[in-house]
Amino acid sequence: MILAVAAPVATALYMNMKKYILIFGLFLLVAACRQQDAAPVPSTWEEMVAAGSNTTVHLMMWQGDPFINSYIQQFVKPRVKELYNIDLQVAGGQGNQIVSLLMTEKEAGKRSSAIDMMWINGETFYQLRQIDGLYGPFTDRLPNAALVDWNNPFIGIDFQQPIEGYECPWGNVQMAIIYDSLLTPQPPLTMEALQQYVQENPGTFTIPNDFTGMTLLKAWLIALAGGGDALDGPFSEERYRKASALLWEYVRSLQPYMWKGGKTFPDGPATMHKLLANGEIHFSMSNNDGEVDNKVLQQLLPPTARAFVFSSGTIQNAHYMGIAQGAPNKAGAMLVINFLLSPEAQYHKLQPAVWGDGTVLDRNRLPEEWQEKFNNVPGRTYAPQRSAIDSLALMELAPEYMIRLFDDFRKEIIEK
Amino acid sequence: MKSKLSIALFLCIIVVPIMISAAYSLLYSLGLTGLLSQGWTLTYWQQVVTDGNIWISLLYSLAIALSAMGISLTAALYLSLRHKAALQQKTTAYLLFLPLGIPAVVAAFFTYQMLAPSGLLSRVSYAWGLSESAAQFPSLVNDSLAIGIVITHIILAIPYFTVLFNNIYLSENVADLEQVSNNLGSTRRQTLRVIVIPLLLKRAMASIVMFLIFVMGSYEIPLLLGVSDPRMLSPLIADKMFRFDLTDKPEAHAMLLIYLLSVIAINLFVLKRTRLYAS
Repeated sequence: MILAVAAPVATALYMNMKKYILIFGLFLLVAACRQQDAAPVPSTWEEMVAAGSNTTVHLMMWQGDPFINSYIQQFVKPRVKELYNIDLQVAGGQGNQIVSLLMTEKEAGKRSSAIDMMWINGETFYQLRQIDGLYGPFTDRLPNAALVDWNNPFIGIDFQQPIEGYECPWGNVQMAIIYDSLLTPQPPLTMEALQQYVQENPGTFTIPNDFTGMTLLKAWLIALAGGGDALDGPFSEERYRKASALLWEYVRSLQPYMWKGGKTFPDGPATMHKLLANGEIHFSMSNNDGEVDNKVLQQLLPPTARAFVFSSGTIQNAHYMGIAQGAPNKAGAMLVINFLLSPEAQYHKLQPAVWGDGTVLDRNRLPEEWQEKFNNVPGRTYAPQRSAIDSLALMELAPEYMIRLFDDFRKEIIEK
Repeated sequence: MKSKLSIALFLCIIVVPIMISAAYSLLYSLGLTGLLSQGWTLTYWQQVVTDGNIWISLLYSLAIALSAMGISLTAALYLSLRHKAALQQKTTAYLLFLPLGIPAVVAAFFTYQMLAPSGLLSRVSYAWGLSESAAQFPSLVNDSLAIGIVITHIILAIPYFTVLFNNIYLSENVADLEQVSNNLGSTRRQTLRVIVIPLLLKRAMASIVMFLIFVMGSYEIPLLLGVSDPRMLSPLIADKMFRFDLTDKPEAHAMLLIYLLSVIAINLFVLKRTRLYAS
């Protein structure tokens, strides 16, 4: 019976074999011919403007927030079109998708990437540096980079790694816990107070099993290790073991009182915002301290929503724009990134009604009229003022801490 | 000649790419390819096989698929045999076809909106005084018994199998066979048990196996309605494949191969059983 089926198939395959080999060969030939080396990057800015103008730039970025999408589509796109006649094409994709795309391209030996630039954070920066997926150094080529607050360690250092010009800072944020002041008039500001609150109000607290959740755990890890710069520097197994033992003990003390009995965890802040809005949980969180204003304006959270930072501190970090090593249009990407660093673009983004994303510019380096504008940005309504939480900012730790936290959160908490 | 060409094209378009992908995964999982590869090693396979997560996930996915399949087939058999006349009506047929066009992610979302502690049922229960708060409502989504996942698959599968059984019933002239069986003195129960149900199931076996594999490999539904542990196969593998630690990728490829081999084993097992049954 099997032979009865296999015989004609084999015959058909044999008869078509030559044809398929020919087609496959042609396909490889065409694919090889399409391999193009990226154009050389001009040396002066004038040449850069000339080379990057009238081109198309492909940007890959997370598109999960209507305000951010609107900022790019309604503000950035028209402005780069107007300034340089650049057609900015935006494709959806975040961290792991960007890494996967560039990794696959490299594994396939493709020299010219499908994307020119991408929005990344420290996590993705670490991964892309591992696979040599970033072009650079390039930030010293951007005129507006002179306005960046490079002395701020939260901007110039990413995951304890100097950025060395391989990514350009775009915004600066600090993790904040979001709550509904109607449900929780007095939010727990310390880890001890949170423990007490969770035990008294079971099912109202949880941690997302993603980058944001691990960022919270990192802040707690630092606090339990002694606070401040206790874990700064390269990864230390010994320091991690000591601090993480305390961390898991603390999380386990919360676990039975967590949402769903601590047996399952939401996949990210978006789910948590919904649970908070529905009243299922009392706390959500975000890596962007200004997100509560943004979400209230989007009517995803009620106007009674507020945000706070634990007195032991939360992680502050920057997010960046990177250029793919194989970007076919590096000059165009640099024009766009330079525009994103301009006072005009940074000021627009800073406004809570637009996005509410912190600036990476040093206000003292700005022209006077811009300094005045930046100092008079319409204030935040629901989020704490930056000046009030700056002193509670903690540095990102070396990437290995994040790897271990992801693994151990699963082993010590989820699977126990 | 045409059929031979079709088979050849099928092999080239479907089988060959899968075989190439499987070979690539094998090389990746053995450390023989990949950007961060450090050469031949069995470490990733040892890690995956001894870790246990893949086996738990495989059994968990199979249990969910069998539960959803059992309930869906029972309901579909009941509907197709009990309401034959109604199924011939245009409105009923239209209503049955409607859920077939719903994407999995939308169905999962509907289930969530209905069954979550803040969902519609919970609100109705609260309004009627059956529960005092959302927290008191039983956990029907994101629960380790996978109730939400099973319900969603059942909603998607029942209409499909009902239509399928009804079509088989008509095309195979099952009504005539029933008549003969009754004339020979069988009771209705005997006729159903010995003739009608086995015939319908046997004719639908390919679709049933496909459904089983489809449920086992589903991604969006367990992602939205599942728990963090245990996880179904696709979320487990995707998590390994795209997580922060890039050195985990070879393990994800090893998991993919185990999953592929499991699917082939299920196919072969069912094929063998079906042939035995036929003979």
